[in-house]
Amino acid sequence: MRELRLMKGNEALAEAAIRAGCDAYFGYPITPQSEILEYLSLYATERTGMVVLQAESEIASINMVYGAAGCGKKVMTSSSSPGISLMQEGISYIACAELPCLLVNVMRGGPGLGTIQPSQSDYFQSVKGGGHGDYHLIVLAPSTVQEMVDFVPISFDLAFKWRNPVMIVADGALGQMMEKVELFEQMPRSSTVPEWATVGKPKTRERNIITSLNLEAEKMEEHNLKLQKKYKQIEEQEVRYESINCDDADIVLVAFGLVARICMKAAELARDKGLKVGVFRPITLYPYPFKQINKLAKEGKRFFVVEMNAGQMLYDVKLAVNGLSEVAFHGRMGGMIPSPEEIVEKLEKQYQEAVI
Amino acid sequence: MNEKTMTEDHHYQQMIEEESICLQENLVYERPETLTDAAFHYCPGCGHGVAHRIIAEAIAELGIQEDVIGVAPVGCSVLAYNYFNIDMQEAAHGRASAVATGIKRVLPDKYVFFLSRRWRFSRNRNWRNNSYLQSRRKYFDCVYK
Repeated sequence: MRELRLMKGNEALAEAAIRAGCDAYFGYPITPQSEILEYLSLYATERTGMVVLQAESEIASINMVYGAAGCGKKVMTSSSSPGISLMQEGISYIACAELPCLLVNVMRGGPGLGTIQPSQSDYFQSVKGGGHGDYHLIVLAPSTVQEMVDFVPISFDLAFKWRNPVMIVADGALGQMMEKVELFEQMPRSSTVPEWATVGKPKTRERNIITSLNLEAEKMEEHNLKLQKKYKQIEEQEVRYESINCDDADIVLVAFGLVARICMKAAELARDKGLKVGVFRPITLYPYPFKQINKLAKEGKRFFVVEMNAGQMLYDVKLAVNGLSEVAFHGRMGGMIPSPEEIVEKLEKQYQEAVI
Repeated sequence: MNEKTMTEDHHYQQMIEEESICLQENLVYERPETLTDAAFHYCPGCGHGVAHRIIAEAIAELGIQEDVIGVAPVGCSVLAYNYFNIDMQEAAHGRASAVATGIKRVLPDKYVFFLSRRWRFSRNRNWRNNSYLQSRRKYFDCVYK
């Protein structure tokens, strides 16, 4: 029987990082995710010898992640929206240098200093590339505290499998709320050194260099093509999603993270009113489940996208639907969370003829 | 060229031949194994090449080639990794100290150094300066230039 605990989302994620055998955490506090650093500072080093360091800034944190990840270690950082904005340059470098690492964004309302209340307004930044250049992060969106735990080892596995940074995007509510979680057993910290890691050059091999620079355009294009080939493979192999009661549905609510759970309740209420509603939840925001949504569109289903932003994932749903069906949207911003009743009301208004 | 200089030149050439300075057994100054054979791209008179050589010689002399990780900065020495025959990382502008800190923290038994110039430490670049001071505070065995 696995260990059961009642935990805050942030603390559960930190506990999962320790148990996943994470080697190092570099971060800087920011609400609503400071508990990750606090929890790790209290327990991690003592339990597994994991390095936990509060850096002097978010910018230093992400560059420390670059350095430590270049040594082939399991490294992570976490922050919330404004802090993640500060890290974008470093994230672009990490993606180009193909360094595996885990980044956690517990999103709060923006733009600017915004608010400390939950939001999903960093979808574009996470999925479309907040930093410069043609790169992608693998982006996972948990919707429960349990997934805040489960996605940590999955993220490390994906990061090392593809030599690519992986980002977990949660929101302030997921970080702060408490739920029952089932914790996996402690995994040992890995002692294997990847062949590309800079750990000191023995006589037996050529030197390893971690860099994102190439002054020769031909070689830089070659590197870009290599990255694009990798992203293509990721798009083919790593799509994850959850489809709830979509088979017989006329209308599909599309939402990620916490909002997907609110939508599940909304779908339940709508079905009580005789409206056939299902929920489609993308788990990987990159790679996005375009094919699956397109299939639903071909089956004649209509779509209603709900997000805690002004309509960011909406663009990807529209791309997937490609004009085959109707796509409507409801969003709240600035730290406001939509209620299930509110969603049903908007849904009824949008699809009045379907209510009869 | 006057007659006197020509005579001196001739005399000097003879001396070199006599001493057979080019023979392997007479070689007293060679490239350390910690430098690659790539030619430096630095401008004439620039101190970078000299500094690279001194660092490389020190690493060779201490016999720590297998235990050193270097960090190249952004600037003229951004391509430093082409010249050192050791494991190296290339950092973002002004972030070499933070990258070096990350390496040193996960590999505490290794020697970690980064290249930077004084202006990159200060000159109103407060955050970068802060990174430098923080790494000094935490890790005294990082080597600086």
